[in-house]
Amino acid sequence: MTQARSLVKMDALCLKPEMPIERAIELMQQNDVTSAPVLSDNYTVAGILTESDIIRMFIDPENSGKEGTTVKDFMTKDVITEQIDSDISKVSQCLLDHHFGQVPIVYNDKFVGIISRKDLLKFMMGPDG
Amino acid sequence: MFDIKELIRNDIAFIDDRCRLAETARLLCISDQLILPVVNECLEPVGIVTEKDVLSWLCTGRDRDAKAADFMQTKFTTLDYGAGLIDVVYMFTVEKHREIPVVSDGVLAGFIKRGSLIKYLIDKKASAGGQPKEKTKCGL
Repeated sequence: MTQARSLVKMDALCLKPEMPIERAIELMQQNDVTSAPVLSDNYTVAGILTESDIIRMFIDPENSGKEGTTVKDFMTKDVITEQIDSDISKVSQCLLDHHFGQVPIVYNDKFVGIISRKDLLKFMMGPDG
Repeated sequence: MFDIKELIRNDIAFIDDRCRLAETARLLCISDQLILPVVNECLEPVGIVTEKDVLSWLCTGRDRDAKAADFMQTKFTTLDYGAGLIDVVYMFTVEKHREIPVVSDGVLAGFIKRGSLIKYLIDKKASAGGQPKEKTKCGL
């Protein structure tokens, strides 16, 4: 049985809820990611900021030109996570059941890293494809 | 004035419907694409393959020698070269696509990533009087 811990990427870009939204967008673009977990001070997953959230922000007239908005104003708050000792098949099923490109991995409710669909695809195809 | 050409990316990987599962997965892994357009000999899109399609195929233990025709989606969305900004935003928000192939006269012309739309919206906001962007290096 392969566990999530063997695939988890620990150097993922993470955001803070109080971070200005402009800075979060800039970091996501610099790191070329389509979503990023948002961590509270105790490293629990407070949310996830996705490109959909960002586009919604741009097209919402209430937010047009508004100053001082932060990540927590736009992030998706109901986040599904997987445990570090979850079987890879369970993580795969999670990514297939939901429209996620990646899922945050936690240990004792603390964020450890992420596993993306691409990571799983590489793992399942193996070194020889 | 919105011009869809500002968002289109032309240097993309695409396959035909005879492409094997392993090669499809390899292309998805080495590229930064979430989807691969599937085209016919006239370069007309006939389907798409997403990471999810391949993962789903593998997770259910099906034939690893399968061809794209077996696991591709034949119902898919494209944007026309003349599409307006509202159409593009709609596709990425309401329909929640992440990447959409763009066709010109029915032929694959490239695709648009959701990130490209965000960059476009940021640039437009900045040119409309927003603050200039400051380069940053680190996250938390």
